[in-house]
Amino acid sequence: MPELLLKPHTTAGTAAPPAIELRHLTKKYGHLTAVQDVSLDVPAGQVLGLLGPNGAGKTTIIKMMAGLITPTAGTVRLRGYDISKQRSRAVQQIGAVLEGSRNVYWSLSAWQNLLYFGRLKGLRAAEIRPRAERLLRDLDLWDRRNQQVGGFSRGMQQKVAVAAALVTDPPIVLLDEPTIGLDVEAARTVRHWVRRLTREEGKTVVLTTHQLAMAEELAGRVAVLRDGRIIADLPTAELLDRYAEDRLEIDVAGTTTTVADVLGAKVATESANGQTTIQLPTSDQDTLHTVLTGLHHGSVPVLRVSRVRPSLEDVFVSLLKGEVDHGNNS
Amino acid sequence: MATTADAPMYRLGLRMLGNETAKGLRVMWAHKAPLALGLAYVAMLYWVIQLFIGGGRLVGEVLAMTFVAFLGYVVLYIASLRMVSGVLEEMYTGTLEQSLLSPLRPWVASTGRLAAALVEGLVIAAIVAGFNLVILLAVQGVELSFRWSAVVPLAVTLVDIAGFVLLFGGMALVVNSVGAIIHVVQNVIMMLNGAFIPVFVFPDWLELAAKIVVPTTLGLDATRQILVAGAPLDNVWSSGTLPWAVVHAAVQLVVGWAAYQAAIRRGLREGRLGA
Repeated sequence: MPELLLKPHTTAGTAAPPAIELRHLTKKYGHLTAVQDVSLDVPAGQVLGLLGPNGAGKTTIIKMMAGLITPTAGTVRLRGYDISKQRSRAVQQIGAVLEGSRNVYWSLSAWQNLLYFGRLKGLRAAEIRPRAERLLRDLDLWDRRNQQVGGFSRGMQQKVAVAAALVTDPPIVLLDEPTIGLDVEAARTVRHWVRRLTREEGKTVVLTTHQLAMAEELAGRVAVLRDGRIIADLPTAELLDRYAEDRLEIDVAGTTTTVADVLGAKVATESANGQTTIQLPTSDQDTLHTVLTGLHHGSVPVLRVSRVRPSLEDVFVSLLKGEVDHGNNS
Repeated sequence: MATTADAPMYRLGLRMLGNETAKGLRVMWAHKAPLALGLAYVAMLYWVIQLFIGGGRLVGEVLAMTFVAFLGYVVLYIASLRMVSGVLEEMYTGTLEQSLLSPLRPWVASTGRLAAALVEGLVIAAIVAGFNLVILLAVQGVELSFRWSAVVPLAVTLVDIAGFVLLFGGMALVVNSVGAIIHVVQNVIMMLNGAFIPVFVFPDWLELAAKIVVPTTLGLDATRQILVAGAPLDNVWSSGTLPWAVVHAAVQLVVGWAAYQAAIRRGLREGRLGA
């Protein structure tokens, strides 16, 4: 799969339309602007991690993609179909697991749910059954297919929601916080499934999550939202690479007090188990020299100096604080 | 996607209707306990009120004139309750939004939801009718005979109920206190649609108000004229009762339909159809 190589640029001029195409998408609720002029293309087969703090507009964008919220301005195209003008065709392209929702009927069995949602998309029972069986077997739900979903654990319920979203084999899958509230094992199963969807089935996935390790693991590209605007949009690896150049860590023996006595309060530190890690905001050699000299003069033992590849969480936090260049290619 | 969605829209629509109706009935069956309680409530309600009206005894003449109207009320009560509670539940659980992710237009889903609610209302009314008929015929010796011509006003009444159900289904999408409102409105209908006292014994102004404002009153009064008074359909038509019932049902359906569709559009605009 070429997903990690794909750039988030528009695909205008290429033969196939992007799987998802957002143009100047805006949503206002009275005076509140939830989403402001968002444009992006998601090529087929890519996993886009849509990240942002609460209220950034992630769910609103997901729901506008699904045609569940009418945009104030702008357009959404799914594999070339305009969601507002060609709704029938457009919604056939997607399956969705929405945040904060059960997504499926708890008073029905897993099997009844899959049949219902398959028929809802216009399929006949004979077309739904083989895929429903495969999904339920893969998700270890086959033996309990005739039990009411309400009696399942939270993780199993979410598995049914994922299966219901996939029962019609849609090329685009929208996952809004799919692992929220799940235990470690259930979250791992969902992560495994998302990976499989893209790598084995070539599906396009838009994923929102607050679990940034999950986004880093699964998303080939990350778009970060703040106050309804995209403030960064890059392939995940590129986003991390850009920031990795700017971060150094110096491990020293002693507490933060020891380091503060020597260097003052001008550097960020974290302390644990009698060691302190000094984090330098830039790779500026002068700063590094100044810090090392200060430590030497203060007789603070330096244990290690390393260039650290930051996690997506580090980058995310810095982006929201406005500490790094946004690197927005879109 | 391996799909048959290229099939003609009418076929997809019919499939969708069946799908929604089957789901509604399955969900209803899954809630057997509250359903049984509701059933017992509406079945007993009639007899208790009739005892009050008769001063401690059941009056056969009143029973005969109100029996069908009460069943009409049961259909309206169950169908509107199921519609409102179903819409609210599905909004809070997110399945309403999932149901909109369909290649069919939202109005088809609305029709399916309405069909399911009406079928549930008719099923419950049929059970109540069976229970009440045993008492009515065996204990009280009231004579009721079915006439096919009564199907016409009954069908008109069902359309009237459908419009009412859609109206409140739409309200459930946009009005937070719809639960309290529907409770009050249902009670007013129960008192005024002829379910306990025939509307012709009301004061003139109240009878007129009941027929104009309250859904089902005109259609059920026309049904009463055929089943109890033995009037031919022509007479019920020429007396004006049935034409006005048709007009009422048509207006109710149009208003209910428009309200539901407007509520869906508003819900999509305001993003309030989901959890």
